Amino acid sequence: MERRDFIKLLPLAFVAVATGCRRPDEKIVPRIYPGSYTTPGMPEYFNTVYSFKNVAYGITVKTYEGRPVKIDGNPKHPLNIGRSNAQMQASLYSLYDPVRFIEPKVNGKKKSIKETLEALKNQIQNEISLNNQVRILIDEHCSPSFASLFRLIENDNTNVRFITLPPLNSDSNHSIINKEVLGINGVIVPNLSKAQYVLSFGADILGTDKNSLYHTIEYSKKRGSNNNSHNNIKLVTLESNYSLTGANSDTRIVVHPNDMEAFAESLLYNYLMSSGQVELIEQYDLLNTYDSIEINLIAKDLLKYIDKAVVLSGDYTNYRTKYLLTALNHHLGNIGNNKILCTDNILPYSNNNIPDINTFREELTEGKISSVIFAGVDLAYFGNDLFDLITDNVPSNNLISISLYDSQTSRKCSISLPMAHFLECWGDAVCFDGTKTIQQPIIKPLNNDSIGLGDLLINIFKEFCNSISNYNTYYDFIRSQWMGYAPDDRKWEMALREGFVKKHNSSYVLEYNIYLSKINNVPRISSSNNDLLLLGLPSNTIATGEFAENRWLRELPDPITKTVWDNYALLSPTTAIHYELKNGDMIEVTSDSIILVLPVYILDGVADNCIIASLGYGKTQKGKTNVFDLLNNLNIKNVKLNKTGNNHKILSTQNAEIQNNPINKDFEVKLQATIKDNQNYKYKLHHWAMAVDLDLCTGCSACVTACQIENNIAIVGRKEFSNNRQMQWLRIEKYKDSNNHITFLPIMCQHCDNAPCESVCPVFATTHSPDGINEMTYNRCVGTRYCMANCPYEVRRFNYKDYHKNETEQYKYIYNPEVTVRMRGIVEKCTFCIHKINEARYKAKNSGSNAISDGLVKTACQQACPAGAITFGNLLDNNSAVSIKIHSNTSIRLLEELNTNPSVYYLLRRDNCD
Amino acid sequence: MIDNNNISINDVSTKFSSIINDKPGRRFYYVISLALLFTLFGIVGAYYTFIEGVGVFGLNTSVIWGLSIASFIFWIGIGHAGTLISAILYLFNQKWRSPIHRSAEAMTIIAVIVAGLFLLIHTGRPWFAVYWLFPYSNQMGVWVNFSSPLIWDVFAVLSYLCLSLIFWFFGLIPDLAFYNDKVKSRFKKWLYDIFSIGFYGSNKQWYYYRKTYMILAGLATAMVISVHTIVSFDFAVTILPGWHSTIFPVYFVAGAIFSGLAFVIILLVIIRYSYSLEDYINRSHFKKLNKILLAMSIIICYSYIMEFFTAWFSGNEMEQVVFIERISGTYSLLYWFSIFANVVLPQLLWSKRVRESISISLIISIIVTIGMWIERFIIVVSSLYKSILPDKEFLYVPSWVEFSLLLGSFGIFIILFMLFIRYFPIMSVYELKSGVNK
Repeated sequence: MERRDFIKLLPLAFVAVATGCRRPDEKIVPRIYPGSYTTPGMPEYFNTVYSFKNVAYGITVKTYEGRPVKIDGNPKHPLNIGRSNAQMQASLYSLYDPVRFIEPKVNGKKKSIKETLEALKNQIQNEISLNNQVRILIDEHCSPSFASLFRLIENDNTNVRFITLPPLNSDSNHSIINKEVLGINGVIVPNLSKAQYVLSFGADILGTDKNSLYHTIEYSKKRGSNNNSHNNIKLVTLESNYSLTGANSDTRIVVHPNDMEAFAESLLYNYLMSSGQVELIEQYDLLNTYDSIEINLIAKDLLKYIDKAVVLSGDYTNYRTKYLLTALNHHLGNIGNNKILCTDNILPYSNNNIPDINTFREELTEGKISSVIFAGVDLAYFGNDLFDLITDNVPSNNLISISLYDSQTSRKCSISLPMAHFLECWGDAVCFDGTKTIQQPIIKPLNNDSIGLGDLLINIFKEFCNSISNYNTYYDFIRSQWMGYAPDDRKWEMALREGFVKKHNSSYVLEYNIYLSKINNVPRISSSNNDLLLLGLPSNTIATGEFAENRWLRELPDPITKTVWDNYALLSPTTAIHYELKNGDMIEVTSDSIILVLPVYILDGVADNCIIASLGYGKTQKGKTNVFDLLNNLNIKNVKLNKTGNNHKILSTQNAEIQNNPINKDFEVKLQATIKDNQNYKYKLHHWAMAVDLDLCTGCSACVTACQIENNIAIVGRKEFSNNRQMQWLRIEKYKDSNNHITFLPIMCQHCDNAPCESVCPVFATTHSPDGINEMTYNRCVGTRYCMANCPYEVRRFNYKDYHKNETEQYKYIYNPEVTVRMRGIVEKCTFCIHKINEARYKAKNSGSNAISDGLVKTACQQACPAGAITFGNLLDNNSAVSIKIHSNTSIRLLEELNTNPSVYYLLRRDNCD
Repeated sequence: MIDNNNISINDVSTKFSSIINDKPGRRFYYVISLALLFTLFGIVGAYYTFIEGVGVFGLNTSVIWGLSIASFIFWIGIGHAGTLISAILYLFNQKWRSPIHRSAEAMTIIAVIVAGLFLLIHTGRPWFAVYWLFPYSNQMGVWVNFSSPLIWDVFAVLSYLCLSLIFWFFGLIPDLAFYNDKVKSRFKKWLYDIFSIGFYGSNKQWYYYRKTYMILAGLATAMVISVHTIVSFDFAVTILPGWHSTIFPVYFVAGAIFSGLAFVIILLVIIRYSYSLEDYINRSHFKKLNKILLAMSIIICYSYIMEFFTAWFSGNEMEQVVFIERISGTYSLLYWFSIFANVVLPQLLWSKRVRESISISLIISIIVTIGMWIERFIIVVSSLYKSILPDKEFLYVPSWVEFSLLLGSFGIFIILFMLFIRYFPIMSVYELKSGVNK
């Protein structure tokens, strides 16, 4: 561009900047650092809340010129202390998603939001005047204001009812048990900080559980290579699938789902036997049918740890198993106030909703329901039979939907509205520990036609509902709800700035009683472990379809299988041999004439006679890939398996066959000969280094997504992935450990002091910085890929194509302006988040010092890691956190024998085997 | 050396002036249009690569070099025999080289040019690579990284090209002067006049000519050894198992001469047949070339054995993994084919009858050429396919674009070589004349 052209265009750029700011209308949106004002090019931070169903965490949103570019945990939030998971990180994606639902539609025609709301209001008015029944289906939530809003609406309009309808009713199963056995209406969140022994019956507390972030944090507090009292927690898992919890367990036992009950029963039997409560065995009518050495060992351990031990049951354990395990927990003495299963740590609004749904079904069949509003619930996707019941019994032009995406449900509704993203609208949330958080909009809805759910309800029901008639917006409503906490603007602002309000004096202690006497009346569910079962479980990446459109998460390798984009039927090698199946064979899974077609992935370590598939897929693509269709809200179903003869290329970042862990070998190398640091260069002030504590790493892959977002790493797409091209700078490799368990090894650029890549680059595109970082100069790279050939860690990534070229303009807002967007033909790799180091350097320089103090720089992966496994800092500073970690006796470097002298250290994993 | 006693100096003059003065036959146009078609196909592939990026190749995250690098080594290797025949044999006073060295030199130059194209196309950003790989002084003060074997590569290939060009041109001068006398077209006469740079064949000129030629031959000999040694450094200098090996320079140089000689044999058979040069290129030439071929094959065989020995004796687990992958893994069929083509098949040349049979040696040469190409492919791909961390294996299958480039390279080679035949003396006429029995 000519200089003159540039100056000509300059005013235009200012206009662009000015219009680029989409600050929300409400003036009270405090930044975290008060007094700051928007400076173009400088980031601003806002605290708000991320809620996934009925679990909420505090988040800090980083914005540039008013556009959010990164979500991280709010460091002060008591629950997630600044940490996050992959889903939280990636929830930003749907804000800018180019395929987001943007146009309200009435009877298939595009309308403005005003017209649509008008049409909707007319319809509801019509229904209410005719005394017709309106049902509003909502997902699980944890917003007290939302709950009181719909209670107010229900109170004023007896014909309007809200029904919570989550994809999986598993919580409800827990809440049924809790109701029956403890008299508590809700799901207890176990407090692992009090536990020393955790026995999980398929409870994926470190993986797909909604509270997994919280559990991972608590779990990680008790582990870690530098933890002196290392044996703080022992995790034993009993499972049919291969979950992250199983992979991280000290002991992992594989059982068929149908054996879970017998196992639980025998365990309770053995426990009662060894604890001398023989009379209870008879009272409970227990049998010792499951023969296994492990039961005795576990029973002994339980007796040893007694009230420090807890037994958790997962989604796919049956009713009686849950009953038995609750009894076991009771006998361990860990239910009650200030115990592991603390009766006031109840998931918000987790009460049993099955009766509501059953009533709804009955009303539908009786033809009583006149209108149904799907409020963010894609029922057509996950509840086919109920949705069919609705479409059969409710007039088709009385179906209304509001959703973030043009979903299967919204396409069948007469009125469909685009929902605002949670960063675009007001709301609030309460965590299970009572911490309350306000959800403040960070950006005005990108699309003016989007509307928040609260705003929609206020808009529709304002005129028919006296108690909310004086609120114009949902913001007003929330403000009024928070009057108790924040009576004036100052306190309200404080609450917004802090991002949360701590739990007030808890007068919220639930009364509970134990009713175990009925246990002998619960019928034994006898089923054989020779039955072929389909076990549908939430996906480790896209949950139960909530993130199915999220390309970051679709491309995030599943922690266990390392597959991307597609759903797979996991089979054990024995089962695969029995059915003569190979990796990638397409199979037909049939039950009740419903067919599911999935490719096979053989995984050593899943139960025999089990097909394990992830829920959440089959939402966006055609074909019989939706596991919900077959399972129909259950977790398990007896199925038949047929081979189709077709084949599917497995898209994964690693072989299906799991290799031995190279770390063990490296440790031997270290023991044999301690290679001295033969530094040719004397570092002066900083030598950046990283320590990854493998004892803490659960393999959850939050770091991978965080890195991808922070560094504008391209999404390559399914097609390019099938060419085995990946761009993620950080990858987590899975290996076998000595017990044949899967262990994880996060690998990023090792920033070697003797970097093999640097010496071979012909044009000096990759060089070493004076503070120990292997730098990549994108501008200089000509793409010979010689560095990639010579990197033993294979961490360098090549832009085979212009991956960013096809992204839409709206999507490009998501880019972090601090990091170059790479074009095709150049190599890229982990930079140790050098832009963050530079930012800290400028700050330090401004305050008159050259040294960056420890903890000031946090790399994206470090910030995200829910287990706190990653430490980053200055190696020259002997007191820095990273130095302390590195100088522990379990620290090793990868492929030390190559003498590359890496700056990334790994701390070995140690299983608790006492 | 011409064995046929019936050929006189005049016959030689008539023969070679007819090649440039006669209109080429129909077959010439057939072949050149086929070559043009190949080239066009290659250009389409190259254009597509430039527009879309290297992503149109079949490469992936771990196999980052593929067919184009293998072809680069192949063509550079082809370029070795020319200089070997002209320079090394000249230094050893092998008179029999005179009918064959000219075309071998032309082959060298063309092959090196073609090889350079591969190097350029394979880079991610060729529009920068085309000049950033040179140490030119720029305002940023950034130079090239002299410790990178790739830079040595650029220098080695370019100096080899330059020297080969000079050596070839220098050898041409007396013949260009001869053509200047014989050619009929005035325009051509003018051109030949310019390029013969005033050579009229005085004793003094011949004296200096011989001396310079000797010096150039010495220089070129050194180059033959250095170029492929440096190309082999691209691999040997890395720390990748299967590449990181000191045998590589010897291995590569021998392989280059081996494949180059095979290629020379193919070209000689074609030239001999097309221009009825049976009198000039005879069985004894093939016999001698085949002897060198056999010798090189034995060196190659030794290298293969050393590869196994290194893998076994080093005790390096990864070396062994890569070696086992080579012999029994995904690409093992290709490996065994190259063993057959490069080691087993040439052993037939121990037999005198086979050595002297032109048709059999043509077949052997074709298979050796293919085998050597495949060998390079295996060297490049199999080490990349297996990583040091027991992590992932991403199969590399070249895409159609890469094959189009390979085909295009042959197209370019054929076109340029045919133009050389058309406009330049394909044999060193003055040397032939000096060898004629008077």
